[in-house]
Amino acid sequence: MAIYSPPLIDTLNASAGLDNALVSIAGSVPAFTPMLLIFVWLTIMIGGYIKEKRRLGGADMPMWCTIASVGTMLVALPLTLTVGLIDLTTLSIVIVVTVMSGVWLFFSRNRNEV
Amino acid sequence: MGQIQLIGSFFMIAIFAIAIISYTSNFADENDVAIDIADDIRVTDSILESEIDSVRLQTNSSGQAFSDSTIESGDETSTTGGVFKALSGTFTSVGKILTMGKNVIFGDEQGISGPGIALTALGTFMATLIILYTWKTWAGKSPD
Repeated sequence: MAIYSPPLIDTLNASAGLDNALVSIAGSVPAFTPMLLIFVWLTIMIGGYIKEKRRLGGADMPMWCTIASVGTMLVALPLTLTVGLIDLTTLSIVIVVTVMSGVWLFFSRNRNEV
Repeated sequence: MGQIQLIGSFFMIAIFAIAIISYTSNFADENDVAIDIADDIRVTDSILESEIDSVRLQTNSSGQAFSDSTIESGDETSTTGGVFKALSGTFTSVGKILTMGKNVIFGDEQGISGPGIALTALGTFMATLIILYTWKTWAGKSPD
């Protein structure tokens, strides 16, 4: 007779690495990765926009949109190393938003800028 | 907006978009990732290598035509829009990249079905701006 019988639930393999917890969360809640990326994007976007507006009186929305998009893309790229963290649609949307932000930035400039 | 700013803006847009997409694709290649942007058929459709070649060849031919051109005494130097024809491949690249973005976000249904009408309207507005800026630069007048 076993002294200790484990509970009948699927526990995480804690010795396999921290990414197992993230993969498990992303598998249970499919909106986890998109919400994480939206959080990163909004934090950089709103934080930078409001801070620049307070310091200078006006803010450069296309510039902060591009900075937030590139920052979000740099967070999304390492997520592609592990199966289950991010899907192709989310990655594609991140790339497209980055490209669109850059197009907006280049169209918003006056002469002798950027 | 002068000719240099206009052509430079389109060139930078094309280079920026190609660089971002190429960066993610090369990141996937070199790190053997599980999710690869190059697996998306809408991204690989004549965006990366062919567009880079297109921009490079258009730039080379444009530079060659520019160095071969001569200005005679008393010539009008800006009576044609030839400078826009020289880098027209850049316009094509920008259009393909915008279409790819619309297809990725809203799907590639024909017509204006679904929320794709938002990006269609945005693209139409940008095309209107492009035409107005081109005419203003060429004719030297304000389209306002």
